[in-house]
Amino acid sequence: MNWNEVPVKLENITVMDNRDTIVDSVNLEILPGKVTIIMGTSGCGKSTVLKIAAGLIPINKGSVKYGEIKLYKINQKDFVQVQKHTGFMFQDGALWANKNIYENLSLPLVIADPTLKKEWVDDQVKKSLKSFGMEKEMMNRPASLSAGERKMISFLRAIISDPQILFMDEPTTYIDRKSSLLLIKKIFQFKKEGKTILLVTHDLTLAKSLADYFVFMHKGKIIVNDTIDSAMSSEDPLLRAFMEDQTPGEEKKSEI
Amino acid sequence: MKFGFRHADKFVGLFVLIAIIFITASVVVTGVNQRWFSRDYEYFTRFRTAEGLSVGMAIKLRGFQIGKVERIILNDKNQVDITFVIYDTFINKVVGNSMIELASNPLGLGGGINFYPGKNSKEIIPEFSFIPSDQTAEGKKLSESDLLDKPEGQDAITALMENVDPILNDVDSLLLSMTALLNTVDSALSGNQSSPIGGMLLNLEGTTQKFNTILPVIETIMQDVNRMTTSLSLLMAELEDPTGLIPKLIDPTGSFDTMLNDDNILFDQILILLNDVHANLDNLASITGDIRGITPELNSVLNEATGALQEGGKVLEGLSNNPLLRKGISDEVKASYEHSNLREEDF
Amino acid sequence: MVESIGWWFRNKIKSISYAFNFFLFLLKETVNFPWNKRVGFKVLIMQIYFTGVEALSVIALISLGIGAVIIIQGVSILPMFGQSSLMYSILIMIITRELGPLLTAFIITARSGSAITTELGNMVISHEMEAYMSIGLHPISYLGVPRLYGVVLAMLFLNIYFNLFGLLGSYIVASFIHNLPFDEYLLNLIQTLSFEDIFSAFLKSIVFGVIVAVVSIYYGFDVNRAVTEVPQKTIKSIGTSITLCILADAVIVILTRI
Repeated sequence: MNWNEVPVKLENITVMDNRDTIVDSVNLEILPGKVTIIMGTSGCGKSTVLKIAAGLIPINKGSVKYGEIKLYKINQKDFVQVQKHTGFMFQDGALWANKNIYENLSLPLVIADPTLKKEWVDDQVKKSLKSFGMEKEMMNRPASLSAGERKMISFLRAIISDPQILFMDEPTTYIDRKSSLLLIKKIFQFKKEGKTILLVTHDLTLAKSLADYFVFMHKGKIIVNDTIDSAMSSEDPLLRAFMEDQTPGEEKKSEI
Repeated sequence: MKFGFRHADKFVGLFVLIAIIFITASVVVTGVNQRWFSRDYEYFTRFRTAEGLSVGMAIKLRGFQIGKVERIILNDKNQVDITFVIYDTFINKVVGNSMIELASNPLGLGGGINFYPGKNSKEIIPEFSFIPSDQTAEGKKLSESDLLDKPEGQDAITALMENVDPILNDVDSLLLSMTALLNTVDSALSGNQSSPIGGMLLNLEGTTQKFNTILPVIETIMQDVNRMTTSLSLLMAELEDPTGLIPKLIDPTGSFDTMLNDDNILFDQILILLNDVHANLDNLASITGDIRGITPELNSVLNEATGALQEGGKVLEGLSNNPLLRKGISDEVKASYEHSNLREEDF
Repeated sequence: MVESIGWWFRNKIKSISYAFNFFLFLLKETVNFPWNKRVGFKVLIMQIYFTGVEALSVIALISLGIGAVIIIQGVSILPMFGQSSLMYSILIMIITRELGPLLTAFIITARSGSAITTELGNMVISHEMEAYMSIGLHPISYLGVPRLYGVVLAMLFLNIYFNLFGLLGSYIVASFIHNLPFDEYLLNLIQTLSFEDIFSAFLKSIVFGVIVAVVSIYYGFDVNRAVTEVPQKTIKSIGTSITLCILADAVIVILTRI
């Protein structure tokens, strides 16, 4: 199976937390080789949808399909196979606190292929750290890094095994301008390589320049799901109101 | 990094190793203790009832556990079949003519099965064979024969009886002394002693006085009796002397001749004397009757002595009624002496 | 009102079935663990280190104390009734069969059970579990199973040490107070110790180990999103572990004594 060409389909997804509905009957198709960006107000369920698409959190109803594979119905072994081709960058880094940076980065490689030689893994880890100028942090624990640095490591961890499908949750928040630019450059490169990308962000500028498809969510429901150009010219009042709030420079404030 | 963290592998290794060594040692020791590695030899026996028997009951040889009961089943003939094992260390004790006995404790404190090996056989009984129990005919026969190596005094009652034995022995010796007393009377008949019966009576009177004064001290009496016995044995020696009493007795000019040819004067006198002795002994019996509560065995002994004296009287009568001497032994008039058996007493 | 009772009841059933499924999954993964190449033994070693080696001093102290007290009391009181040999039965009964496994379980619950719940709960909150999922590792297999193994093995070994200190070490303590020949003590102890005692202690260690591990892992994963849930779940996990251990102890005692 060529993972470059696998569409990810979310069908009728509902997620409940006790009696609150977090995600309400969401249907979404993420087209292969395209960048889909999800935007929405805080707490609208966009991060939840992203995690459901990656198969990370349990759902109450619906199904997630990777081509013909039903993500929530497969066994552990097949799940590993799927995860081998996906990478997930967390909003808050979610680095493993009891492992050092080296272990954080090498584990995805070792899990994806236990037969890999240690030298090759070491080399791979060093190379990816070097690309962000963080090689001196290799043996440190995540607790000794800044929030931005942790985020960078989380990004490196997501891409280190060169997955074809990438999920990114607010990739540019907490990160300084220089690193942010570096990271965005990398994402554009992935787009060019034809990887499937699903990205949640508050950065409208980034969305406009990067996205092929645009999804707008409000209170657990998808309001707009269209190409970026159509979405930008949409007359939906909720989207319009959201757009007006997202004036440059303020997008980060809402997150903090 | 903490020292412990760095060497966690070594610590865990040591931790696990010591624990495994200890547990292995414990299991092995327990195994040896529970005879996992030893061979047991199986035999069977038969009992009339399973009463007092239980699975796992120890089979003992002179206090050593040499095996245990494995199974108890009621067979078609309503007999109880017992399968038991003998430990390999004791297998050479299981020789021909061996027997099994159920020893129950009279106080109800458990009990056990005793194993008695045969005496004259060296041949080990093959496994799965029948070894008779004391409840089978075969076992009873063995038990009565001396083919069994069966020590005395296995249970509490026997042990108690062993303690009674010395007392009975004492009684025996007392009786012997009394018999000797009779011999004295007998010898007195020879007339060789100067008023022998009077002396005897004095002796007896003294003894009676002693009874009255120092009743509980049986030993003193015993000493007295012993003293008598010694003097009596001297007399007995005289009797045996070929130049002594006997020839004199049968000498036609001797005592007997005098006795037989004096129209029973002497004989009647002797009878009177003996009657006196009788009366005295009756008194003695009544005195001892009073102290019976304290010394029942003494009472019994004295009664025996009275009986013995009565026998002595009969002997004398026999002598006078000797076929040679006309009359023959007259019918016994039973005197109602208080005679109580030692065993019947409550003490 | 009726609706909320219904909702509560449905939720209760759901959570019980979830807990049961969780237990089954954990058990399945536990069986698979030795063949699972992707899960390192390092986690297991560290778990045994934290749960076993580090708790050794506490266990040693407690078992020494209890063993010595039994010996001293036994030597002082039992001969009055002519039952000196009963001391060894009491020692085995208390150290090997009863208090050994139960006290070890309590100590492990307090030390490691709470630590496991807290650690896993915090990992849930910091999304580390999701991070494991994102690389294809099931957190229950990767984090739960080695902890279960670690706790069960540590419990087993600690129980052995409890016996080692409680039966042999306590003799040394008691020998300062009473003159009791060691060879006589050891011989009597060996004669009293039966395989059933060892087996019962083993069985209890394993059962208690599984209970403590499963309960603390379950409550760790039961944390949802708030940091405040962590101490709440930890308290629940300790309470549940201790209750279940005592219940299991009663059941095992009844089963082994029938």
